[in-house]
Amino acid sequence: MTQRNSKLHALSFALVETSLYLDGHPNDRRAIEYYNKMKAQYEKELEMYEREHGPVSMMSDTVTENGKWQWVNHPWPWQNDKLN
Amino acid sequence: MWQYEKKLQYPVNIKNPNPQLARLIISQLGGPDGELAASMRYLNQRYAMPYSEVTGILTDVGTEELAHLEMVAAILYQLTRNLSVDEIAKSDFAPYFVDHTTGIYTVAASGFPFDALAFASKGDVLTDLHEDLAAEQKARTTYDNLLRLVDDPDVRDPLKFLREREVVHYQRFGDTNHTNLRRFFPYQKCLDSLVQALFFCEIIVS
Repeated sequence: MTQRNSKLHALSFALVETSLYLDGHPNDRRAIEYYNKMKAQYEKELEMYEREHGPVSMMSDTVTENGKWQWVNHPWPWQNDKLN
Repeated sequence: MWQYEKKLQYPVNIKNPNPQLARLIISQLGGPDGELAASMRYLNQRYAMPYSEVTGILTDVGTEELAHLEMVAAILYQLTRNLSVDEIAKSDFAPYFVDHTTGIYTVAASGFPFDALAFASKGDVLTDLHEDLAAEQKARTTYDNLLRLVDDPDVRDPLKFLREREVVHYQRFGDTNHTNLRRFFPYQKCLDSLVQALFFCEIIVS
């Protein structure tokens, strides 16, 4: 697993964890700020990740890149023997 | 991983509660050919699937089935809200009410709790794809049976949408017979005529 890969996982987990907390504490301003900060970083990291590994979601801009359906062109996440 | 979208795939707006109908429609939640069974069947089959295009279909259909599970639950919720004790006592919904109040619980219309045997997964491309084609037909039959029993247009509307999706999913699983997968379908002609028969069935029903 590459460095970049791990960073995306960490940022994605930060968003999951913070959103879960915010569900029960919707007025916590510090948590809101933290969420926004992580979200901005996640989006930047996601762009780099998708350039290398293909789209992670159907809503990604890269899913129709080069006029081709890219969704099925990359290994699936459990196929770590095929991931670079 | 998955992310939730806070909207139904197709809107459900039922004006009149009807616990009798809920007791029937619940089969598409917790019955053997319901949406829960469909979703877990496809998502679990992905790991033994050697063709990325088909893994994509299994992933995307399996994901859509989760959205259908939510639609069926929304139908059940709207059919069982604001009921009086009297209305419940008079309906077939009473035994369910005793066990679950109006909470959503995965059970078949016949009263059998959800059985994981419905998650068919054999680890063989040909076997699994035939299972999936059959599963879509079984779900389509169940929606046809429900549409025979339901008059309320508010309930029929989302049921018709869900029935249509079974037909489309069947066709997408059938698509896997093109290109490099063709050799896995020795019964090509038989499959093609089945798809045509479905189109015909579609015209009669709509």
